[in-house]
Amino acid sequence: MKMTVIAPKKITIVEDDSIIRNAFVTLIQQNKNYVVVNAYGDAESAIKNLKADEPDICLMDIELPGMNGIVAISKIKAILPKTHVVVVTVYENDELVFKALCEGAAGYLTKNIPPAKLIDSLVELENGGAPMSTSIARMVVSSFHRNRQTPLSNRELEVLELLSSGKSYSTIADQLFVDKETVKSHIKNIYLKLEVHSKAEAIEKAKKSKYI
Amino acid sequence: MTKTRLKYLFLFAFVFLKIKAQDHGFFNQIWLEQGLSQSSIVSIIQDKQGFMWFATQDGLNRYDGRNIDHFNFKPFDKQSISGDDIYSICLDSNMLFVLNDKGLDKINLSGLKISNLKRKSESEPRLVFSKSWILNNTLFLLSREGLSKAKFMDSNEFDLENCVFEDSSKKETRTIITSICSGDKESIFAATNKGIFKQNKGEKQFRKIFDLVSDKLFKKPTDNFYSSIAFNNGKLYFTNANTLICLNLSTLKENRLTLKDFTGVSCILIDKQDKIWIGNNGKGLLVVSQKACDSLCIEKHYSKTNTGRFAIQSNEITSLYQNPRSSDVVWIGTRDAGAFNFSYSKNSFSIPSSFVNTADANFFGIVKDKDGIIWAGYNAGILKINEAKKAQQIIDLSDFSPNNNRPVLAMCADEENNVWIAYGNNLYLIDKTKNTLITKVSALVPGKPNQSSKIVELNKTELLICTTRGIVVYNKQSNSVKLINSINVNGQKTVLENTESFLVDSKNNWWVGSSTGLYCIRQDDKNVILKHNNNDSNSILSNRIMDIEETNKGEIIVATTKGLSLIKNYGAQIKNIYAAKGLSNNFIYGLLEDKKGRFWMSTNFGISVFDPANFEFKSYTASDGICINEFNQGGFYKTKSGELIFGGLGGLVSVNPEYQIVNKSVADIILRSIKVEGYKDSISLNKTLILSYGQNDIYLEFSIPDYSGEKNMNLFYRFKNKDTAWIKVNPSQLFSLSFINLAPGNYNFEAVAVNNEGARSKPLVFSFKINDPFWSTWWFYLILVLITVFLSWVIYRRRLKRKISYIQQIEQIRKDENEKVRKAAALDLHDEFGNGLTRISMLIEMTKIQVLKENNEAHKLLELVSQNSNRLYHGTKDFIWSINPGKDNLYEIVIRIKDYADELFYGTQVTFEVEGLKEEFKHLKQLPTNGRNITMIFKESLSNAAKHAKATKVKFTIKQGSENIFLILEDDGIGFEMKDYKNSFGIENIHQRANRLAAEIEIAPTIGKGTKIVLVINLKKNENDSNSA
Repeated sequence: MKMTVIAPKKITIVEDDSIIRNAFVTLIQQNKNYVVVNAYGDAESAIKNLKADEPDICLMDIELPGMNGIVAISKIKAILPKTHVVVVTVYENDELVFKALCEGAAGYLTKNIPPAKLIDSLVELENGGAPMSTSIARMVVSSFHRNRQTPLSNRELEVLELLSSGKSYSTIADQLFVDKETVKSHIKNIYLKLEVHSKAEAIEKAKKSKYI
Repeated sequence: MTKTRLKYLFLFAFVFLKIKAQDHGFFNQIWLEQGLSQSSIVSIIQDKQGFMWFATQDGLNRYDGRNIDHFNFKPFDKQSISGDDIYSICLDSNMLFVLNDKGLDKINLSGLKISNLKRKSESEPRLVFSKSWILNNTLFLLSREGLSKAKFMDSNEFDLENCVFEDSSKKETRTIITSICSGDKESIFAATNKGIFKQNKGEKQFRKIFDLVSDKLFKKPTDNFYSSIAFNNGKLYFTNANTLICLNLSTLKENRLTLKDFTGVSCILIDKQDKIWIGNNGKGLLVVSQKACDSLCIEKHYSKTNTGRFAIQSNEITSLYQNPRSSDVVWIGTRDAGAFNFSYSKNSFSIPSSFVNTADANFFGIVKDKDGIIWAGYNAGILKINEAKKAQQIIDLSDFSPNNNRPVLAMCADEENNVWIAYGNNLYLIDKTKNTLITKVSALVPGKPNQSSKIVELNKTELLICTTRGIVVYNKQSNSVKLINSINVNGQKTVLENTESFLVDSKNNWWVGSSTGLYCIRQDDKNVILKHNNNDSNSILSNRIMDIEETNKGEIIVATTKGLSLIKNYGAQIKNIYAAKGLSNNFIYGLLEDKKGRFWMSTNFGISVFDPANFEFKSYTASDGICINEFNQGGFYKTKSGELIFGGLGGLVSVNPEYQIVNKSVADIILRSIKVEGYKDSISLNKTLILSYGQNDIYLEFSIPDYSGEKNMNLFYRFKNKDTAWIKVNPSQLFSLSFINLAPGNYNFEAVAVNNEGARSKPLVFSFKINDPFWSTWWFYLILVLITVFLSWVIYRRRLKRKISYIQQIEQIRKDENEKVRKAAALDLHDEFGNGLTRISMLIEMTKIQVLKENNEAHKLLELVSQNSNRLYHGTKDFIWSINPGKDNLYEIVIRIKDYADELFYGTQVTFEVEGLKEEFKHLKQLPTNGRNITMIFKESLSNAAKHAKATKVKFTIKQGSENIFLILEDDGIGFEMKDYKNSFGIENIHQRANRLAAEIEIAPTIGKGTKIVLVINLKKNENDSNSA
């Protein structure tokens, strides 16, 4: 019987917390199919060594000193398009999820994932899947429920969504880190595009048309 | 030289003058001076309103007694009559038909709208009509072709139907119609050249009923040519060349009156007094009266005279008219002097001197003897007037009293029909046969110049003469005189001089009037002198006493130059009447009492009548028929029959009050126009005129269609609802009234016309209302109040809204802040705990790897640490999740539970499913703590199921009831005995959390069959909690 030697998959870890980073390294190293080629505390050094590392999978934290994980994903994908970047983070915020996925993340896991499940996720990834925590997966799915044929821009959708949840202009401005006047101009555009004249009408129409 | 002239005069005086036989009549003329367009009157008609219409050869004139409006052809104006040369006018209720040289027109009298009438299918040459009549509501038109009836197709187009005249004479000559009139039973009579014809109602032909051809008296064929015709009271009147024929249609008896020298009769009229008026072209006007047995007799012949302002000024009479509704006035149209009206009331006054031809018609003393001869004194002469014979004669006094060039004042006709004259210091008796004077007393007061003013017959033998030297009593039998020139008053001798009037009262007291006061020579010798005292209103008005009379109540009435004084009890009570209403002048010459006890007074301006019963006066001036205005001293006389004769400047006036015709009818007032700014609608008297506040200047114009003389009518008005006093309208050319700036309100205007006889017209009443300005109307106040209320409400609402929105803002800010804090806390907690716990679990995992696998105890411990840290992690996450805003709804809660279960049962044999999760649960908000409690309850239960139940299937169902939400967790595990776990921490925890939720929880385990946990959440309660939070 001829033995087929399967080369272990190369993994790079970008995680600023050294304990977690080391734990991930240790956990992954337990499995023969995976080898951690390098683990970095920041994205910049990971990208610097990317060519040398040539990882198959990159586990990427989002909150990082310097360049954040989202930006790093696009850079990595630009350099090594075949590398699967899996986000491993404590954040379950939908905006970050989508941003990450849009930049080319192959999966999105939360850090509290049990070690077994982490390995399962890597296997799933290898098999062409996109491992995600349940809550993340639902977030993604529900986003597909939305009508993509919206005339509204993403920002406007955000504003409208916040508006529909009863937020005031100033709160929205705070939340989106923009000026209150900008929010107002967004709302004005929403009114124009939806051909409505009031907040209530706008929300009602957007809900009916499943823009939000 | 002077003597010769006087002799000539004297001779002349004794010749009886035959004068042209013409009668006096009082006529009022309306011609160019009054505004008539032309002197040549063709036709006269009075419309229903009372306006007189005069048709002339230069247009139509409408007259209301004061003003004349003209209706002429106006070039290019369709609203004008078609021609000025008018041939005839006739009236059909409210339509006036005007036949003129250019055609036929119709004037609607209510709006004065003029329509030019067209003949249907008129062929050339045009038929020219010369006369028109409206009889029995049919318009008859006379043309060269004969008489035709006009049939109206529509309002402005007519067709002709010829009238057929029976003609048995078979002569070649045409039947020429001159005049037609309506008879009884809607029959029509026609005067023609072939006799008189009649058409009965319903008959086609006019049949001849009368002609004179066979009559012996009328041989000539022309005599059968009848010029005018009139019907009245069953009798037909018509004229031929010089005969008036009256045919009684019932008896067929005829009366004829030959009108000598009166050929050329133009028109005939039978008036309400049954007098026949006959107009003539060139000979004036005849009035024929009908005596017993219908015999006719000429009563008056009025013709043009050069004297007399009020005589008829033309002999060319063209038309006669009397309104069927009024009896006083007859209208006469002439060819060259306009129109005249003859009023019976004014002609109650006669002018005995009308025919008198004298240079000095200024009369003083008057008597009328029993033979009906009037003796009238004038300046140094006496005029003898024989009215019946229209003869006059003069007795010149300059021969008898050459140096006394004064008027003759004192005349008296005694019971024996002798006429006495006192002139200067002489007393004369008139020799009526020789028309000269017989001197009876040559010196009434011997040796002194003297003047006589009055003679009174004291008794059959005595006359009393008032002279400047005192009163003289003359005895006819002894031809002696006795002078009384002083009287005793209160024991003192008082001179009696300059006496002018005298009265013996019913108590036989003598009252002597002089120029120095009034003397009463009493029977009881308590003589009295009454004099004017300017400081005593109980004194007589003036010392110049013109006449004295006694009223039927025994009061002495004294005529003075300043008015009337009424004396009671010899002067104890004196009532003076000066400048009284209705008294035209205060200078009173004489008093004549009529049979009704009224006193007729000649004054310096007309004649006034005083009624002592009611102290009312009425006055007549020249234009009221008396012809003269200024009267003279001594110029008043009452005959035994009650005829009153007054003499003055210009002649004599006679009236018998008993037979006086008083005009008691006053025409209705016409409101000619109302002018109110901005008011254009036609004005109806029956409807209240509503005017706006700004339309408070009102101009009214009236007509009183009364033709008794301009000054005879007075117009009074009042506002019936405002005051009761009547205000006299001062007429200028018109009766007009202007009201400026009338206050808002209702006005009931009432006007009444009163003539000089005191007769009143029907009052003209109309109402108008000037509306209040809008700012003082109730609805404006209401609007104001409403606006105020509305504004207050709006302001209140705005303030309330602002307040609410402020509170809401604050609330929102608080909420936002709260959320922010919650979110920040959640984030911080998440990051801190998440990272920390992740690190711990990672460290455990790594420790597990480090610790030898054989060291089971250590592994067990590590597993416990790992489990606890995991639980802590999830617990923290639950807490974070629950405080994170946006997760506080049932949907998120269920998802949370589902996530937990998914993770819990990951890698086990247990299948987990959720049923009944709906999107709309997102709207079921929960308190953050509630969400946490719910998740904790089911997490506890789920972990129990995972650990102990040994289930293969776990199902989570959400059911929504009307008021409750049921959260049901079922498993198919082994179940448990409730009593074994009753006090377990887990079950107790579940119950506690359910309590906190105020929800019902039911834990129903069945041994061997599994466990069912049902959480019932009351929606309403939850909602309230959520809101209050």
